[in-house]
Amino acid sequence: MKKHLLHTFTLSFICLVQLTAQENGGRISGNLQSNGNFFITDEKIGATGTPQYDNQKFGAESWLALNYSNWGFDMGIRFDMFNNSNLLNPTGSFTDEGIGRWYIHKEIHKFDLSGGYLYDQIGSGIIFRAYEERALMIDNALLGVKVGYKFNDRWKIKAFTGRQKRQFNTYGSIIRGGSLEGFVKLDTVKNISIAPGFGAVARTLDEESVNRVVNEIATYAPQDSTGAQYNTYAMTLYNTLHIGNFSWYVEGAYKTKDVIYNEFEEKVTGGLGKLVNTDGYTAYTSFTYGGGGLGITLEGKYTKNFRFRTDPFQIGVQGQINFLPPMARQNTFRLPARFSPNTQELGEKGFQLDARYAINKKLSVGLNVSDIYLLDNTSLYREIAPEVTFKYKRKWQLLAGLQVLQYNIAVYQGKDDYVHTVTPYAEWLYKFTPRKSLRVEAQYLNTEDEFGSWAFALVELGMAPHWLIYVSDMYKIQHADKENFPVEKTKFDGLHYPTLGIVYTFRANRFSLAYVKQVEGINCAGGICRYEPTFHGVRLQLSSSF
Amino acid sequence: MNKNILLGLAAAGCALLGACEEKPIPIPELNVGSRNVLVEELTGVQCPNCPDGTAALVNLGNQIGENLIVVSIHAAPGYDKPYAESKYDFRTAKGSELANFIGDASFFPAASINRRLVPPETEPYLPRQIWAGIINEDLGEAPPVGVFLETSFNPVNRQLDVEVTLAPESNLNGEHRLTVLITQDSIQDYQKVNLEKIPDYYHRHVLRDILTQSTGDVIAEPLTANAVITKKYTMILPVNWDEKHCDVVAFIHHGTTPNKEVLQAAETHVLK
Repeated sequence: MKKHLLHTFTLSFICLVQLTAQENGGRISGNLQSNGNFFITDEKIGATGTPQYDNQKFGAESWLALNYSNWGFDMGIRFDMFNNSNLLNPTGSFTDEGIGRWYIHKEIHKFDLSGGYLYDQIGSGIIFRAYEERALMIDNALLGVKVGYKFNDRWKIKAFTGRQKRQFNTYGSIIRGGSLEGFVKLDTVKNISIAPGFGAVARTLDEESVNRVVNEIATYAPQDSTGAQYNTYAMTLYNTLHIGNFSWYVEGAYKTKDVIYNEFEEKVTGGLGKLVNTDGYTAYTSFTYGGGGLGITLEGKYTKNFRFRTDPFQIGVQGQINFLPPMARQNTFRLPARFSPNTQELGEKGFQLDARYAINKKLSVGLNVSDIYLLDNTSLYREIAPEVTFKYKRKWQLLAGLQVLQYNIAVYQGKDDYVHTVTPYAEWLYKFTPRKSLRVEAQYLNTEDEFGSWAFALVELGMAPHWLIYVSDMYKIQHADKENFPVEKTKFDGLHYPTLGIVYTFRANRFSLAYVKQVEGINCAGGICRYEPTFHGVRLQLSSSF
Repeated sequence: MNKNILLGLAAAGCALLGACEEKPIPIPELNVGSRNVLVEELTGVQCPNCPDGTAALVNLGNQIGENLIVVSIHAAPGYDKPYAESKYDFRTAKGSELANFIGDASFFPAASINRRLVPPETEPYLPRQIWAGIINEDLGEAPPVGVFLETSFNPVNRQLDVEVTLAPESNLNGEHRLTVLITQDSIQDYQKVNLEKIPDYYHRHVLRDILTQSTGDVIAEPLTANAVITKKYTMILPVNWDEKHCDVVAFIHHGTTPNKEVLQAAETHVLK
């Protein structure tokens, strides 16, 4: 029935587009993203043991979105396809296809109405964020309705209700919420303004989740037993203050009692991990200054028991209702990005400083410092990364930096203890002509921990506007005294992970083909991370906007 | 305007938070009746997180007792290969067939509970967080069919005779299958536990062999109320299997995708 309705909707949508394409005033846009992975087994680097390596040999994902606007309506539909994909689960295989999203939006005077699969957030997303992050297979759109109302240019209110999307299905729990946001100019001359907001979200567990919760708790010893309830409420208050070049954002949120899974709590009968019924809170602030060649961002966060899921049994990136801002930057270079911190929903505190200063037109310096702890003061992540950029006319540019890192791999990845690394890195960009350039990267990750030290180099030749060719290699430095280490630490010693790729760009279309050997690691976006297994094979990617 | 804003805020607050006072949900007692629950745990000697799952099942077994039947299938893809130093190879062709028949597991520890599909999961292999809840849910159900096991073991020629009796409580329509298998408990050998390779780890409920087809033998006889169906199986226990720690497990289940649900299971020791 559900599928039938969707097909009817799709057909109507296509007919509507065809009909109105002949008229003026309509606007159609869309985009396509496709990934194809050919898997080649390589036991030496651990590229084996998953269905793709063992049997399937090929996996693909694709998203085709079409949007249409006319008569004040915005509407869209997206076809999603997964064929033997390891995106949902890095060691598994997922195949399905269907309508991944549809929506209709209309503004009527001061009202703003939307229905379908909706992406939205309240404040910085601390109590509610419905968004998509394809690289991590996050698509937690809310299937529901949203009504907004603008009181005037400065104040608006919105309310929504629905269920969270799960691939081509939805979770059972009902999510509802709303926010009131404003903007008040306090002093036009001095450029002082505030943007306050208040939001609230409630989640009602469905009967099936409740049954599962009570059945789970019933197996606990009396000392471990905990209560449970249908509804959990989260509230947040936030404000941005602008004074000239300064900006200060502050947000505080509270969540009423919620049954959450705590993987660090031990049962009296033994075994780690149990359901607990507790309230939680979080506070986040960021202070930014920009002017006179100087840019500073200082952020701080404190979180306790702020795991907020569609039901307590969802793990990893599944079923997240909210988003907690990360306290570390997203490194773009390969080796400095090797150890990235995953936001700890159950408890963490930390700060981050990011500063840039342009000494003159040629020379600029930067510093990023990040320090994150568990609430018991156990150090989780400490990164100190100074950086310098030198531009020589328009001919070449050099970026050099050093990352000093302490990473609690026991908490983040469940192995060993701490990883300490020192990673110098450099990027040199040379322009032969305005259209022809050469980019070279060199990085060296020095550590005695995990698998030991790594080296990485990349050479990329750009021929604008169409072609980009690159070759890179990541090399595992051999331990000098290999026999003194367990095999687990030295198993990648002396291995090369080469990559060779070509990219062709034509207007808003990008095609890339690459042979890739990639070591296992953690892939993060916005503090949300997941394990990425070793990859060996050929990657084909296509993205197109129209 | 401020009045409008306040009214809007108050309305939103009432709608969202009006029912903040929550009634606690009553937690039922652990309900153990005549239903036995079959847990098929997918594991491997090199699976670093699997021992955590096994420990959780052992704890549940201590609490629930004989109504919980655990079978550990050493067929976790990529993790089931023994070490060079391992004394045993727990992998069997039939075990792999059985694991594949149940479904795909893409995380570990993973176990199927009565081979139930539990939405929104799309495979019978379930994450550890929900095992206890699902087990408890099934323990409270009345079994639609009784499964009874009798065994006799001849220590001289090591012949094991198994007799399975099925007694439906009501008429059961559709295809049903019977699977009978042997497990061995407490085998000491290498196992990866987190990053460490433990040489003297006790492997629990290891699947040794399957006496029926891995996918189960289709029951040709009609399963009608008050009917009694008896099936007999024989095997010679290999000498390196310690009969003191061997058990026979039998269960009746559906056998077509996606419904492979187990209706009832039974377990008995080879030596009584």
